[in-house]
Amino acid sequence: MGGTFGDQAEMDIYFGIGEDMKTRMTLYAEDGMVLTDGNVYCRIACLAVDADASVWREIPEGEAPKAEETV
Amino acid sequence: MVYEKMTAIADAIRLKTGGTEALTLEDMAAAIPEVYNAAARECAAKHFVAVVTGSGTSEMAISVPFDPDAVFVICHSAYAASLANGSTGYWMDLRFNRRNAARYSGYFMAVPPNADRTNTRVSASTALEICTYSDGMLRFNAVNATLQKYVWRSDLQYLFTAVQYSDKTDAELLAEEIALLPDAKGGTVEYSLFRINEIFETAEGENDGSTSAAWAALLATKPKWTFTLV
Repeated sequence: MGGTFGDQAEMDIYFGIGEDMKTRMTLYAEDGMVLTDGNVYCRIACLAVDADASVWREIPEGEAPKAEETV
Repeated sequence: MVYEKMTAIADAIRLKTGGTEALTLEDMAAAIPEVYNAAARECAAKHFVAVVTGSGTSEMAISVPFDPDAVFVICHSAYAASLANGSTGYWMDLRFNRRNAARYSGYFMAVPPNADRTNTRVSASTALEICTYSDGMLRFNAVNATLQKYVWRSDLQYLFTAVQYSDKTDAELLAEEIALLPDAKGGTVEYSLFRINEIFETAEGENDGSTSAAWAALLATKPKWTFTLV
């Protein structure tokens, strides 16, 4: 599933002029899902320019750690 | 030379007491108490400290004259004594930065009776629910992620401190924080989706801060960084 996130997958073109033009991919989790790269769990991931989007995947929200953690 | 020094003293006095009128030496002497009073008012408008006995419930309400940016609570009763004192409630410490946009805004640490301590990290959105401010009252509702309630023991005292640490907007504070991310080395930084939506909310709709031009422009300043919204 890496890099593909259903109908809500989007690529945003961010700002720049001339040679500074950069692209940044933004991934959005569908309802009831969260994104993870194995370390981070989130609803939205604004990837660094040239980042590898294939390491990200969606998992059901219930499988992610809670926003609050008791340690 | 003396004139310049006297003018500097007068300027310092006027900075605290207001006004632009020239001050005689007698005026300066008379203004000294107001300098102290003005400083005290300035301090009280942004800093608050109180020692309060626990409510005996999970809720506490304290009169604070300003909406604080950050709150710290310490149970200053003896730790050992609170643990040895039966099974009616909890000892706890809290720390919330209410201006924070990071994933976690603080934590509260509780010691259930006859058990190991529990240290709960609190997300930025949840912290705003646990620690709210309205009508001149700072209210706490000590509930964790699993809705377990922590009791402010009525046999313990708690030291509450609250502070307004910046006159800048949340967006300005966040921009300063992001500016500190090193350009040469990338990485991942986590923010609260709730707080980003709140900070950058536009006039067009609700909860749209994370898709706003202002947020996008901020991200564009750090192309080597991945920003995750949790």
